[in-house]
Amino acid sequence: MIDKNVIMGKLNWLLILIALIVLPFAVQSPLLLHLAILIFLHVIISEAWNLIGGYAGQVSLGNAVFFGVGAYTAVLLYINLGVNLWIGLVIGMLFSAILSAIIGYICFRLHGVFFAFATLAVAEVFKLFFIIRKDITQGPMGVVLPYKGDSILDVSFASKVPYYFLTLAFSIFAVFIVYYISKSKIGHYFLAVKEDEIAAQSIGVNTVFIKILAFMLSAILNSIAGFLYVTYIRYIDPYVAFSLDISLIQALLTIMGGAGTVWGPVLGTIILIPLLELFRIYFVMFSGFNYMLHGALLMAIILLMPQGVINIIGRFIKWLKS
Amino acid sequence: MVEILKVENVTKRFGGVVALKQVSLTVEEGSITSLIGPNGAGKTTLFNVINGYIKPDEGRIFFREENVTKLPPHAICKRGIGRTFQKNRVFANMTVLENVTIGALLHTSDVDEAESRALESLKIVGLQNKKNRVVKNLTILERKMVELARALSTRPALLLLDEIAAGLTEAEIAWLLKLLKRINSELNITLFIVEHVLKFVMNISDKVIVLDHGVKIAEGPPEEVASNSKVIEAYIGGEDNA
Repeated sequence: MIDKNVIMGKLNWLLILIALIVLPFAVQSPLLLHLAILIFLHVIISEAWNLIGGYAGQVSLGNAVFFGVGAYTAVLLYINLGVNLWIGLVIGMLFSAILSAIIGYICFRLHGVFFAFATLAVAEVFKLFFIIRKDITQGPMGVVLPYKGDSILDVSFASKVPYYFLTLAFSIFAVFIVYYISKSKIGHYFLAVKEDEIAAQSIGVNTVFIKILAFMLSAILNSIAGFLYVTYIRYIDPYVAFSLDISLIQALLTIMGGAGTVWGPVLGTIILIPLLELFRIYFVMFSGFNYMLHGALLMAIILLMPQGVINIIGRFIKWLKS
Repeated sequence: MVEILKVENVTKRFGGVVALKQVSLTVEEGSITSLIGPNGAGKTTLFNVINGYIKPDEGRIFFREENVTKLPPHAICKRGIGRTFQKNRVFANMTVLENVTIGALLHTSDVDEAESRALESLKIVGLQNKKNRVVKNLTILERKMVELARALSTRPALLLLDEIAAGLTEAEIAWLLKLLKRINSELNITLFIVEHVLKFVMNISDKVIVLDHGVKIAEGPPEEVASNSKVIEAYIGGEDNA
């Protein structure tokens, strides 16, 4: 007997996937496509934060380091040495993985809020380095990624549609990675570390290694997002690449949606990113007003539903069924 | 009898306080050995040294003739030393089964297999019917049993139990005694127990070791230790222990 629910479940996913594939052809509005691309990019970084913060319980506030490294590595190699952007992506992921292992090895001697501050400081150091070392990074002026006509090799497109599919594919990849890890031994060890490190060690968990592994995975996903961002926007500067905004938003989206769940960050992103964009567009005359709403929303969610939106929805579905 | 654990001249100081002073002892394979002593005698410190949470200033620890003094806690667990904590350290937000499954993952990467092994451990401690309960909602005894099952699921050869009977009722202690004897004889696990409840210790132990102010003052069969004048003095006679 094949379970009817399993088939229905698979069918639902297929329908969602088809809808996502048809969407850019049905919707011609560049604004909506841009919004979709933004959502996909944020799904990648919030799932990245979900691994280190949601599952392994280590509040990193410096993930922008890897976003920046991912973006800059590919672009600088491409412009200066003519290295293909896709190879640059892989090299950037590698750099991020190595960097995160080193940063993690040092910072994981600290716990809780002290770890968070340390990562925050590391991101600032990287920002300053990229601003000051003009010889390598072109400094605060930033780097422009030249448009080369429509080309997959140069990740250069006139239309938004290819970027839509590119970011969609990688965001599905990110969700899949988190789903796979949540079902695996590593995912269980992440949760054990989050709950109680000393207890985890007593049952054979190498907690330092596990935390570094979570940090590396998180760094690699951020690196991919940085790469996608710069190929889409075609410009990057240190203030954007290593900004506190990028470090914070991935934590906010994850916490709002539901940290330590596969779909929480996706939900948080889908709800919040359009809202924030709307705030930005409609309250443009009150500069900074969107940040106030942003903050108010965060406070409301942490106070009213500390386990995230996904938890409320889960309870609501249970209540409907009973 | 074969020694499974050997503690050799271990000294540990915390600032000016000497928590352990030249402590040497052995635990024989297959036995139930107890470590008793007044508050602050250094019992938990010694457990933490054996498990690798605290590095001793002097001395060495041997497990099955291997020097494990410098190993980190997770490596010591892999060698086959499990433990429970004085202050219960369960994963409070997880279910009973998830807690124990994480322990079972030490020997397999297959989560389903780990789950079925975890169920076996849960059956031993009698919690299989509560496997889907979130641990923070359980009673003290049940939480202690989750911790015990989690340690068992790592398949230890030697299990260190830190005050597992503390806070339990008479009836619960009687039940626990039977359970520990069964774990010792049927699963062939050597037990090393830190305990305050003397009745518990006298009933279960093959050997009792007494610590006082970080110094070992007696070692031997329970009856012998109970009549030892130094032990009596440490427990009821000494002025500074009153």
